[in-house]
Amino acid sequence: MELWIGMISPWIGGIMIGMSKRSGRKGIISSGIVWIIMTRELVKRMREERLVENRMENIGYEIGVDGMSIGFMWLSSVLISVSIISEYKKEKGSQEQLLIMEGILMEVFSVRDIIGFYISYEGVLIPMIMMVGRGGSRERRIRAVYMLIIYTLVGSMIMLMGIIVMYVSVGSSGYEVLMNVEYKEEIGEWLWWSIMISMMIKMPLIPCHVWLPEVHAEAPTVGSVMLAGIMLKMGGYGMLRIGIGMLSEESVYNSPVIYTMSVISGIYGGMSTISQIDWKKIIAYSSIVHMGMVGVGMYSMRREGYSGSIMMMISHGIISSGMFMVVGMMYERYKTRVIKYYGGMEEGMPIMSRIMWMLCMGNMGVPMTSGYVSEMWIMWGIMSVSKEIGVMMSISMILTVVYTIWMYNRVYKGSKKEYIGKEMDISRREYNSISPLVVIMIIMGVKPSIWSEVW
Amino acid sequence: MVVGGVMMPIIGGVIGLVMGRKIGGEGSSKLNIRSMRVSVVMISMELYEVVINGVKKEVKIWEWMREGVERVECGVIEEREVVEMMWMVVVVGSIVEEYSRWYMKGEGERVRFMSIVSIFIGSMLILVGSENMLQMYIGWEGIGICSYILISYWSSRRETGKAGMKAMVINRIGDMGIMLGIGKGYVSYGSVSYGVMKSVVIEEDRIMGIMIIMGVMTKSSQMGMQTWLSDAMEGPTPVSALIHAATLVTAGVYVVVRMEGIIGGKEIMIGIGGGSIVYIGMLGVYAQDIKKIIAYSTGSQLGYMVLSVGVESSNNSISHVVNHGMVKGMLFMSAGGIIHSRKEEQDIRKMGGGVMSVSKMGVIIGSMGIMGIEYSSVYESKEEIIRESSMSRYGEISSELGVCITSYYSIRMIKRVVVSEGKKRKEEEEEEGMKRSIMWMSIIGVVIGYMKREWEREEWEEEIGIKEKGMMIIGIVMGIWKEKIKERRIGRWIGKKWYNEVWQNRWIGGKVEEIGREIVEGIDRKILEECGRKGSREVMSGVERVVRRRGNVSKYGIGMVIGIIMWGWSCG
Repeated sequence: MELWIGMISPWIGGIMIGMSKRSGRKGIISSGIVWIIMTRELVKRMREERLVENRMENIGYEIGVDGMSIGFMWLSSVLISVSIISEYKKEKGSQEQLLIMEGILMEVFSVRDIIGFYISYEGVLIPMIMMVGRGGSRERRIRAVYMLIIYTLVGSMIMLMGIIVMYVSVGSSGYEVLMNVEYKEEIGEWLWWSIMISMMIKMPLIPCHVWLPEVHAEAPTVGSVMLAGIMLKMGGYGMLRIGIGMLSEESVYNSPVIYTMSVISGIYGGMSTISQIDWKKIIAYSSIVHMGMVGVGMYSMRREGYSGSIMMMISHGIISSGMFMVVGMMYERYKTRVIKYYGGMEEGMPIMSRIMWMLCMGNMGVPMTSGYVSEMWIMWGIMSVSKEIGVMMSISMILTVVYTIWMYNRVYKGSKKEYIGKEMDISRREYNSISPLVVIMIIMGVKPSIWSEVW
Repeated sequence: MVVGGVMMPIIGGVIGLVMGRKIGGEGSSKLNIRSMRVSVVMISMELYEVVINGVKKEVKIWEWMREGVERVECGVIEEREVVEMMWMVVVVGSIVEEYSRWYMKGEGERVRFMSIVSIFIGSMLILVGSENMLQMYIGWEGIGICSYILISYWSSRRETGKAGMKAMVINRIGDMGIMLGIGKGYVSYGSVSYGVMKSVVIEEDRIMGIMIIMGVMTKSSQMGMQTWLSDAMEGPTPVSALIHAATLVTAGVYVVVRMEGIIGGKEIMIGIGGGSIVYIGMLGVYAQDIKKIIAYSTGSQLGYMVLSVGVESSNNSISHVVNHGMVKGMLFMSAGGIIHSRKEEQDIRKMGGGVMSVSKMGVIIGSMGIMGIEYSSVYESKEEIIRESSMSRYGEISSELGVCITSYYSIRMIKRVVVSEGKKRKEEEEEEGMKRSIMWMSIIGVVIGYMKREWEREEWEEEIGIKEKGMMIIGIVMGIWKEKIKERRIGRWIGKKWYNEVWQNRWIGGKVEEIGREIVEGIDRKILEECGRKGSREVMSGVERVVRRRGNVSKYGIGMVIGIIMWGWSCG
């Protein structure tokens, strides 16, 4: 029942906002309800250690929450609430889009049916496109939207074929059935690739990453938060659910492919981050690096690796969203995202610089933040497979520190630039929207078992 | 009790940070100093318990994470070396805080400074008291982050930010070594706890050893990785006293000592330790900045400690850490006093003259101590290390050479700072608190060796190595006689700091940056342009053209879906 309220509440909120003239508090209330329900579910799961999913078959298709998906549902409820707070008292359109997106996201992570998964997986694109296309600041955003559509649609067309083949050859599209099926060798191999290409584009791993920085650079703050926070995680979730869950033998066979791509993502992404000048692109490339780590951890096929990769996805969702929000605040003040024009901001805006510093520490993976726990578990997972890959992943972790510290140093330390006029520290609304993320980041680092005990 | 001692500095620091706006700079200093004193009292009582009464116990307070069968529980372990080290850290820390209360008078943001110093000491205590590698890593990263904040404290100066970044990035390489080491240890021993690892070890893991030694090299600034150490002198002097004497740099040595018996690769430690005694010591010979001389001297002393772990006498290593920490802290504080009294002058060539002051006395005592003059406390541990290192020829030669080099630059510093006439300039007298803390520190620094002798209940060995004495006398004579050593090759090499930074910048930093730029310009941006600007538009307009020419979109849509389904049927 609770879950059902959680599923339906964003839709009601979205429709109500759409019908009324001003948004008021409807958005905050309806997304807050989801957040509370999801947090309760998460904590309950940790305490009772129940692994059975609670199904609801009276809606037509199967919906259920298990340990793997509750983390992502919780993450999306947090991010949506936080971005609604940050959009509070602005135009109502973005709140509406956010709520509809939340409704679809809840479905992506809770549906127990592969075709339902596909539909909702694609459905997220619609509010996303509206967000980027309407809210972006430059003319180039149309091109970015084209890129987003083409890249993801090409991938998902291939995935659709794979899904249909799976449905046809098994005769069912439910998760329970598909998890216990073995395919013939040729078909299995082909299926794995067809699913994985779509997921690799969504994650993104390196050859398919080109759309991400472009879209990030054009998207408004909320769009970036959604994109980095949840869109990328859908790729990871699909990899975990369909790739490893349903095509496990093929995954074991093909794991070196993912290792190679992830390691390349880590090192190549790290190196190209160092030479970026656009603040948003730095964070976008940094998400590619982190997603590389997720891929390695997931395909190490160890328990530690799974935990680490899910933890990494949740923690990266929190941290990079926070960083994007800080960038958005700075952009609102000075109308530029080029790092060269900033400098010495620490004196004028102490609170915001401390918040950014904490988020940077999370990004670097300092202990007592969520980043560290996940990196450590991924490291445990991957070292038991091969130490060479571990060493190569550690290079990308070094690069992470290099660009994070460099970014912080160039913006907040040093002498003040003449381009910066009046400094204004964080406002109350901004503080309310970003402080939950910092607090969650630290709680995740101090007590990770709340999140890791559920699966 | 010991938990209180460990947590007290952090609690003080956090309260200082949170309440900072209300209590102000002075209140924050008082709060932090008091919490440090409470911690000193608690840990001294614990020292009595553990060292004199011989108690051994383990306190577990908090379960951090559970992953599979592995439970990581944080707490404090009480053994002799642990508590000795903790005691050293809190004593140096509390005196440095007292000192910095006076030194930083009139600087902005004192609240943050004092609180971060407290948190820094607290993280070091967490590292020292750890029983497993993950808790060790909390402290390890904590001191790294705090050192970045403290080094770049005067953030409007451009150099400070760079120095902090350098320290952070170079230390991160070592952190990755430690991370890999933890992973390797987890894989090969199935746990991260020292105790469990020691109980299941069959053969010492060499690869894990190499990974851990990588961390030690950067944190303890061993040869090749020492570049951040001298740059970190950009920070305020109390920070240097804290980082380079008692806490941060000794963390690396301490970690290897704790992991003795688990990790292999002893000969690498001998090689690195012995090498850096000479390699970094020689840099001190040519340096002219008073703080940098002391920093290089720290690097070379750390070489002794690592060497001593390599020759399997880790007990001496810890003794040397403790003795050296006390003396070096005092030396830094005295240097700070001199710098402060001469209006931020750091070049020793422009020093000298003036009346005798407490800080000059501190320089004399400290330099004598570092040289290892007989009956000073460092003498005890250094003598032991040199004697033990005779089991490897290389270690013996380098440690003997190290004595000569150390005494050379120490004597040169005394001569320049205290004895020589120099340019007479008005010197301000130090603050009362600064004087007091230097005096306290010098007393402790002299006495600590005897105290340690007593509580370790070891016999006095009156044996004096002839070779060391000879080397020391050579060094002293050279220092008095010949201040500038001019040798063509070596002089130029050392003047450029062994070209160490040059090759690091050119071959590693520069290459990474260059490759990054090439990647972005060559691959990413080209593909972006192709796909983003041209590609997407062409695809879209192509689709549009086809649809416009033939019309009737819905038929195409239905056709596509049917086609996919048919194709799926045929595949299945």
